Amino acid sequence: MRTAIITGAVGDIGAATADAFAGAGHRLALLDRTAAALPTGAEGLALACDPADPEAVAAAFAAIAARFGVAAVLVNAADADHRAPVTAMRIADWDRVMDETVGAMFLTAKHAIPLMAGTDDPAIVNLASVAGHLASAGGAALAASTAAVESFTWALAGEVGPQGIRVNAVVAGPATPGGGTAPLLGRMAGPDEVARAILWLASRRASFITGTTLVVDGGLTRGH
Amino acid sequence: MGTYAVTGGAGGIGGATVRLLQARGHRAVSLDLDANPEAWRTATLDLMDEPALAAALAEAGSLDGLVCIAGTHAMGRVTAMAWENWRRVLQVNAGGSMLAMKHAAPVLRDGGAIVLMGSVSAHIGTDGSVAYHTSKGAVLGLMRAASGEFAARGIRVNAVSPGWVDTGFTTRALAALPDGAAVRARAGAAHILGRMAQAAEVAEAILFLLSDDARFVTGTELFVDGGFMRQR
Repeated sequence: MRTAIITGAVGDIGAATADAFAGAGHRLALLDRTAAALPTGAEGLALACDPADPEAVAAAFAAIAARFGVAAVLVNAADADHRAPVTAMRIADWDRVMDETVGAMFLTAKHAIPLMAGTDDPAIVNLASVAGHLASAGGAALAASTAAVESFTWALAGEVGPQGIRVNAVVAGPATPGGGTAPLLGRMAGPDEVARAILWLASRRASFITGTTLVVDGGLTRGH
Repeated sequence: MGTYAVTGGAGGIGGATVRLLQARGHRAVSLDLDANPEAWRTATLDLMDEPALAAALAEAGSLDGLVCIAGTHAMGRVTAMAWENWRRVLQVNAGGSMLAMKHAAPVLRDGGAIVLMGSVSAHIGTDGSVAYHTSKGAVLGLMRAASGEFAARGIRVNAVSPGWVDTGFTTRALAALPDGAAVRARAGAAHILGRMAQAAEVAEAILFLLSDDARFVTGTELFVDGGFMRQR
């Protein structure tokens, strides 16, 4: 039975991801600032952990190692946003968004990679957003942080590829209607739809996929 | 259980796709110059033969999905390539995908899915394969445009882009190179995962895009390239 570590597990996509992995027979280690609820019937841990706090992450992974020994899957689904024009944005808010997205992924990957040794087809999936590909007034922090998530994903894929660890990103379309064009499919992404793409990328069925991004946006960007 | 048409269904990736579809309980219709006796139905035809293509797809009845894998390759540099060879590659790879979609459309159910075969070759350049690179760029343009046209019927259109895949197609393409053996020896190292893909791994990605698990995925390209695009 594979163990999946999922951050941002209280959020909509994180919770849907926990449900999807539990449904596929994984043990779970759920991390978020407040402890998430384990899906009904799921085996595992739910820990209160700020994924941008290095000491908290170290403590959480010590608990995960003590409980499971190894873990084959890490899903980073924690997100953050701060909307403000660049001319009015405080650096503290910018830093917080960076820390809670790509910074958190750096911290969790650092601790998760050693736990993946000896597991069968280990995989990391990082959640990103179409915001990293599009113009947006007041969305600079989110756009920059989520684009950084993709770049971090691709770099890490090269770093841990020789260990057999695959690393990919899922770019999710907007969950709420914005002012712009609607996705081709005429609706917004459901959290479970993003979760199923994450589950598939983390599975053995995606055994030759690494260093790339799967776009789950209903056709909003079409190659942007 | 669904019914899926696969162009190039007798080739390496196509044959693996037919096999995987049927292993998961679906029916596969192979459309290829050669027969695939494993397939539920096998139509031997040239994709440029529109009446034969239309008849084979109509005969399949209702389709849940279409996979356009049929492709060809011809060596040639811009300064030396014969027009006929250029046209054949563009016709089969891009035109064949367009025609297969055109004639599958009447029998493809609403909410179904189409998967086209892209390639990392759409994004990089190598010397002496100008027609192939061009054709794969065209396939991606076709995929993005068609994803909009089919969206009103809830039909999703995506592409899978492999790097090197260990198939007969690859073996034949390498045989056309003076240094083919050396290119093959280096091919694995061109991927982060250190090897070529097996055809079944590409087929898995195709089945994902056809499936309900990908129901919000359209107009996009899924690389099944073992990290080829990030390795320079």
